[in-house]
Parts: sequence; C-alpha cells; structure tokens
Amino acid sequence: MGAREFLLAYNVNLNTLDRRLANEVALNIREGGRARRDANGEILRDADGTSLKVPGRLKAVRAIGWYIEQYRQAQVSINLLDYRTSPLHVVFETAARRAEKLGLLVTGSELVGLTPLAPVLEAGRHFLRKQGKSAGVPERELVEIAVRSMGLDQVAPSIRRRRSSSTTFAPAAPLMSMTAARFVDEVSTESPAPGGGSVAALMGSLGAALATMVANLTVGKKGYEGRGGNWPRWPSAARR
Amino acid sequence: MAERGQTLKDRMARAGRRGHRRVQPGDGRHAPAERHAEQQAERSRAIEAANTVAAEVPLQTARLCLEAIALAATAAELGNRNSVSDAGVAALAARAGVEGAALNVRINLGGLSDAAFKASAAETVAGLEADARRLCDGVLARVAAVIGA
Repeated sequence: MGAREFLLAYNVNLNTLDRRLANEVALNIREGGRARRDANGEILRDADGTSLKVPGRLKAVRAIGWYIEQYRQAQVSINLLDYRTSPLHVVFETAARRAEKLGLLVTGSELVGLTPLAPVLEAGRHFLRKQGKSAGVPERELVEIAVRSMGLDQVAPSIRRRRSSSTTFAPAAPLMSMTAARFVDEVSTESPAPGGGSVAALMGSLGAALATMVANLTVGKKGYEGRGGNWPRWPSAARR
Repeated sequence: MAERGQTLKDRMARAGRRGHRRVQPGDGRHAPAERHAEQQAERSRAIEAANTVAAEVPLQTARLCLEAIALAATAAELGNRNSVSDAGVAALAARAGVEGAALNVRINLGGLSDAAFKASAAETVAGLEADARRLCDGVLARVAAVIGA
C-alpha cells in the first residue's frame, strides 16, 4: 500500500552539443548506474547473463543524456521518482559537480509539466542557507531564488511563469489577495464576512509577520552571531 | 525561527479565508411545518455539525495566534534590540487575534447543544486567552526594559 511519490520530469542543460558527455553525467548520478566492465572494456555478467552494475550516486533517479536540437544543447534528462529521497537541489548540484569534473558547465535546468511546490520551496531554502541567509522568506521569494539558482528560466521563461503561478502555488485566498485599503472597506460594509473572525486571523498573521521580521533583522547581524536556525524552542505554552 | 514565522503567517492567512459562520435560525433554509420529524432531525444534525465547525475554526485561529505571541516573545528576548518595539507590536497584534478569535468561539458555541464539546471548547479557549495575556505582558515588560521606558 502507499501512494507513489509525484514523479518530477527534470532536465539539466549543459554547455555542450555532445550527447555522450551528457550521458556520462547521467550514468554517474542515476541509481541504476552503468555496466561494470573488465580491463578490456567487456561488460561483466553474472551467472544468469545479467550485466553487473556500478551504481550511481542518487537513489530514486533515472537519467539519460541526449541532444536537443531545439535548444542546440545536450541535456541530462531525469526522472526523479521520489524528491524526498533525492531532493531536487541535490540532483541539480550532483549533476553540476559531475559536469564540472568533465570540464562542462550547467547552463540551466527545466521542470517539465506539473510540479509540486514542496521541492521547489526546499530548493529555495537550501540555496538561501548556503548563502548564509535566513530561509524564512515568503514562498514567492523561495520560488524566485530556486528559479535563479538552478536556472529554471533558461530555456522556457514563459512556461516557468505559468507553472509557478498556477500549479505550484496554492490559489490566492480572495480576502488575502485584496489590498489593505480594499480589505478595510470590505470589513466596513454590512456583509457579515469579512468580520471579526477574518480580522482576528489577520491580526495574528500580522503579529507572526512582525516577529518574523525581527528574526530576519537579527540573523547574521553584528552582535547577534550564532543566532541562526537554532533559536530556542517555543515557550511551553505555545506547544499545546 | 523566521521559517517557522513564515509558515505561521501563511497558515493564518489561509485560515482567514474560511469564512465559517454560525448558522442562525432563519438562515436561508426554512423548514416547512409539514416536514417529517426525521427530516427535522436531519436538519438539526446538519446545523449542529455546521456550528461545530464554526466554533472549531476560530479555536484554531486562536491557537495559531498564540504561537505568534510565542514567536514575538522569542523575538523580544533574543532578537535585534533595535527592533524590540516591533516585537512588542507583534505581541499586541497577535493577542488581539487570540482574544478576538476567542469571542468568535464563544458566540458560536451558543448555538450548540453538545454540552461536552461546549465545555471542552470553553475551557480550551479560556486557557489560550490566559496564556496569551501572560505571554503578551511578558513581551511588553521586556520591551519596556530594553528601551528604558
């Protein structure tokens, strides 16, 4: 039992036209790895004739290298079967490291089709932390930093925008998408909602946002060194 | 902590759009006098369920707002001293959120007949309010101490 993880179709583009170089990166990162060979380059097989494998670096990753005429680039084409096992940014960075060893550069990458938001947000947090920045920024900024860090807008900026606004973002709440002035106007009308409930939630939300601002003005500032991700736990009352 | 704050902020923003409201007598659906007893009972159950949800939503808002005060307390205690007044405003805003949501819980409990649920929700909300006041007062005392007022 158990639902299959969402499969991510993800491609990493290289500054080469050579499909074989892209395939070399693919063989290095994919779970299935490559065939084990003897000193003469012959594929080694077990008693049943099945070829023996040298596993690649990343679990739950299938990959192959090919050349895309449309982009005039070679590309590592990846199926990421479980982004919790091998996070998106780990796949990107592992491919980039292997590419560099081969004298290549990664020029960008692309997510194909529907993409859940979670792995993109996690990538955004990863790249912010790597820069020593607070990862406590709005989701929109996490998506932006992920897009820039992995070059997700290199080959298809319009597709990327559409994807991030419609399928990887939860639809905006009508009340929360209002301007502040419009919201205040709406509260003043005779319609019962938005009323006290919405205003109470907004107050709490503003409180959380302000406290978050203070945290962001503290992390990494002179005199407050070491107050990174490990601030003390919540006061006990809040844990109920 | 900033990551936790962003999550909290977004959850409350999403909670805010769930405009659940107590179903009041005469709200749209009138029951004709000739309706069978069974249908009447069905309707009562539906109203009870809707009102239970209407009480649970602000209860959850109050819990999240209390977390926001706790966040403000941490910010006031350990955060940048130049922003300590912001931590104070954060606590006051979030306290208004807790107490405001508590009022909504109470008015929505009024329409319920499930005594056990009512008692338990009333006790929970009173606890949340007490915690909110205590934490908020602590934050304000800290703010006053830092800015020397």
